[in-house]
Amino acid sequence: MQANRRKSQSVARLLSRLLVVLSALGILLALTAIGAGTFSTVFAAQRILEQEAQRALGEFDLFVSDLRRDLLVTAAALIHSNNDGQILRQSLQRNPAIFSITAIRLGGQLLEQRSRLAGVTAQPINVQEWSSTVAAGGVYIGPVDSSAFGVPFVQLVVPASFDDGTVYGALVADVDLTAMQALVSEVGVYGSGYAYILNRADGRLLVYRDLARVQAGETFREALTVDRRVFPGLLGITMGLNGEMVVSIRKDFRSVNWVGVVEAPLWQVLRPYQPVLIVLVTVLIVIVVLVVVTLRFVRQRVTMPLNALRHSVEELRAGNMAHRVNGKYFHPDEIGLLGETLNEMAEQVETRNRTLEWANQMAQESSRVKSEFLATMSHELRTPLNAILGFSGVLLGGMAGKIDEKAHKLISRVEVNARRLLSLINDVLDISKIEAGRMELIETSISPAQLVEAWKAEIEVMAAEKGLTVTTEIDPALPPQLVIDKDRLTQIVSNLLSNAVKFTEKGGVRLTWTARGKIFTIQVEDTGVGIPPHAMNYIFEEFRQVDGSYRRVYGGTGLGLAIVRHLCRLMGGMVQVSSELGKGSTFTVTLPLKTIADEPVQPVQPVQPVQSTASEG
Amino acid sequence: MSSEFASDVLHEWVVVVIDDEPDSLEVAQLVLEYYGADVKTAVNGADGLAAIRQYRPRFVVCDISMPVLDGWGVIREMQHDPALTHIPAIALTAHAMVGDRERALSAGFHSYLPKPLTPATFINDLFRLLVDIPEFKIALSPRS
Repeated sequence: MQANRRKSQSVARLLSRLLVVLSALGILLALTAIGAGTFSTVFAAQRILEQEAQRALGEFDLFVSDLRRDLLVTAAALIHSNNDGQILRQSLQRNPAIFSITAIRLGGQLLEQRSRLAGVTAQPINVQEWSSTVAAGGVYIGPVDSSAFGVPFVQLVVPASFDDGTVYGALVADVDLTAMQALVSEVGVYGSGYAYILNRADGRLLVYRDLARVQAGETFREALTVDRRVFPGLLGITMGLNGEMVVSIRKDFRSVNWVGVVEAPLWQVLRPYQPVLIVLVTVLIVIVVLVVVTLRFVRQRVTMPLNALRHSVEELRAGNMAHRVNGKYFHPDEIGLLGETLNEMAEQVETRNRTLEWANQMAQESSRVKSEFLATMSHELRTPLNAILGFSGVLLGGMAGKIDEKAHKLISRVEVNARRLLSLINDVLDISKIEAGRMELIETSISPAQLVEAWKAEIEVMAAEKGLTVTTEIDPALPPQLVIDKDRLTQIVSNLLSNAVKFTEKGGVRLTWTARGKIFTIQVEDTGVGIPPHAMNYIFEEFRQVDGSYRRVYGGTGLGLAIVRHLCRLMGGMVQVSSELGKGSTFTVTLPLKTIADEPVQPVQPVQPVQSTASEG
Repeated sequence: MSSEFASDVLHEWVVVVIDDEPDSLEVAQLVLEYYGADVKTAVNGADGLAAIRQYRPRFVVCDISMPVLDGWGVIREMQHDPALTHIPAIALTAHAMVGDRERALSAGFHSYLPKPLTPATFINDLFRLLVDIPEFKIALSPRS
C-alpha cells in the first residue's frame, strides 16, 4: 500500500525553500547594490585623484622639464660666448627658481659661477656623483635636500659639450624647490589625501609635506611595484604610504627618474557613501532576520501542527481509536480547529465502535438463545406428538385390544392429523434452523444409484395408488460415489417427488440425474396440472401455494418448496422451475459435484443461508 | 398393520425396557406385551440395572439420555458384570447423529433403533437387528 502512495511533498518545506530563494535574491540584490555603489564611488575618486595628480605632479614635471631645457640651451651658449659670466647671469634671470649656477669641467676645475644672492655661495659640488652620468650625455638630479638655507633644493646637472658632441664639463644648478614643494604638500584631496614623490631608482621619498620624513631618508618601494593591488584588478585600492588602505593614482615623471603618487584614504573616499551603505546593510540584516522569523513561524504554526495531525491520523487509521491529537502543537487557527475536529471524530468513532461491539454481542447472544430455544422446542414439540402417534399406532394395530371399525376409522383420522402436525412441525423447525444459520450439513460418501432406488421405492406406493408411473434415469457420467449430505438431498428430492405425484392425475413422474463437470442436476418432471405463470414468482415462498384452495385438495404444509430452496442454497446450489399449464412441470436442482478425491468426508460447519429472492430458487 | 410375526412370538420372554419418557416407555411395553413378552420397565438407568440383575431378561431396550444413570452408564455396567455381559442391549435415541451408531456399538450395545418407535414396525425392526443370535433365529420361524 505504501508503494502506491504518491511521493509526498512538504508544503512547509516548499514554502521554506521559496522564502530562502527570495531572501537569497534579496541579499544578492543588496550585495550587488553595495558593490556597485562602492565601485562607482572609488571610480569617481580615481578621477578626482587623477585631476590632482595632473595639477600638482604634472606641474612639477613640467617645471623640471623646462629647467632642464633651459640649462641645456645655456650650456650650448657657453661654447660660443666669451662672457661665460653673462650667460650664467642671464640664466639666473630667466629662472627665478635657480639660485646659483656653476659651469665646471669634468675634471673638477671651476669654470664660472654665479649666485643670485651676493655672498651666498653655491652648494658643494661632488663631481664623482654625477660625472659618469653626465659624461654619457645624461642629466643628473641630486637628492632633495633641506639642510641648506632651510628650504628644499635640488642640484640639477646637465652636460656641457662641444659642437661635435664631446662632453667637456657640466652645468650645475641649485634649484629652489620651495614653490614646487608647496604645490605637492598642498594636495589635500578628500580631506586627508596627499601627494608625494619618490625616486624611482631606490624608492626614496623625495618630496612630501612631512619634511622630517624626507630628511630621514624614508623609502616606500611598494609604490614602485607596477600593479600591486590588494584586490587584483580592483580600482587601484592598495596599501598607502602611511600604512592604511588608500585609493592611489601613480604618475611617472617624464623629465626625471621620479614617481609621483596621489593617495586618499579609502575610508574617506567611501565616507559620503556611508549612509547608503548603512541603509543597504541594514536592509540585508532585516531581510535575514525576517526570513529566519518567518521560517520559524512557518515551522511552528504549519509544519509541526501538520506533522502532529498526520501522525494522529495514522494512529487512528491503524485502529488505535483511543488516540487523541496532542493539544500542545496547536494554536487557535484553522489547523488547530482541524485537530479539534479530528479528536471529536475519533471520539464519535470510538463511541460507535463500542455501541457496535455491544450490539454485536447482543446479536450473538440472541442467536445463541435462539439456537437453544430451537433445540429445546424441537424436542418439546416432538415428544407429545410421538406419544400420540405411538398410542394411535398401538390402538390401530390391535395391540391394546380389539376395536370396532368405527373406532378404527376415528383413531385413523387422529393419527393422520398427528402425522400432518408432525410434518408441519418438522418443516417449520427446519426452516427456522436454516434461517438461524444453525443447519449443519453432514456430508458423507453415497452411491447415487442406491439413493435413487430408495427414492423410487418410497414414492412408488403413493404413485401406484393414483395409477402413475415412476421412471428414473442416471447419467453414466455420474461417478459411482458422491460426497453430499444424504439426508438433506433426500429431503429435497422427496419433497419434489411427492409434489409431482400430488399434482398429477394421469401419466407419471420422471427423475433424471445428470452430471456436468463440477456440478450435477436432478430433474423431477411430471405430467400434472402445471403452474400458472403468475404463480412462478412466489411458488418458493413459505406457505404460498398456487391458490388457497389447492391446499385442501393437494395437502402438504406449504413449506415444502421453501425448504427445498433453502436447502439448495445452503448446499451451494439452486432450484429452478419451468411449467406449462395443463402439460406438467419440471423442477431442476443444481448442486456442486464433490467426490472423495475433492475433499475428505467430514461434517460441514453451520452455513449462513443466502437472502431469499422471489423468482428463482 | 401387517407383521411377519405371530402374536405370541415373545411368549415367556422377559424383556427390560428403560426409558425416562413415560409415554414412550408405555408404547414399547404395549407392543412387546402384545407379542407375548413379560415386560419389566424402569425410568432411569439405576432402576433399569436393578431390574436387569433381578430378572435376567432375554434382551434389553435402553434409552440413551436419562437422568441418574444414562444409557452409556448402563451398558458399561453390563459389560463389566460377567453375569450380564451376554445379554443383548438395543440403544434408543432421538438424535440421529453421525457417529452415534458407531459409538453405541463400540460401547457394547448390540444395535441401535431411532426414536420415536413406530408400533407397526417395531417388532420387525427389532428382530431384524437381533437375527444373528441363535435363539432369536428360532423365534423367526414362519407363522405357525
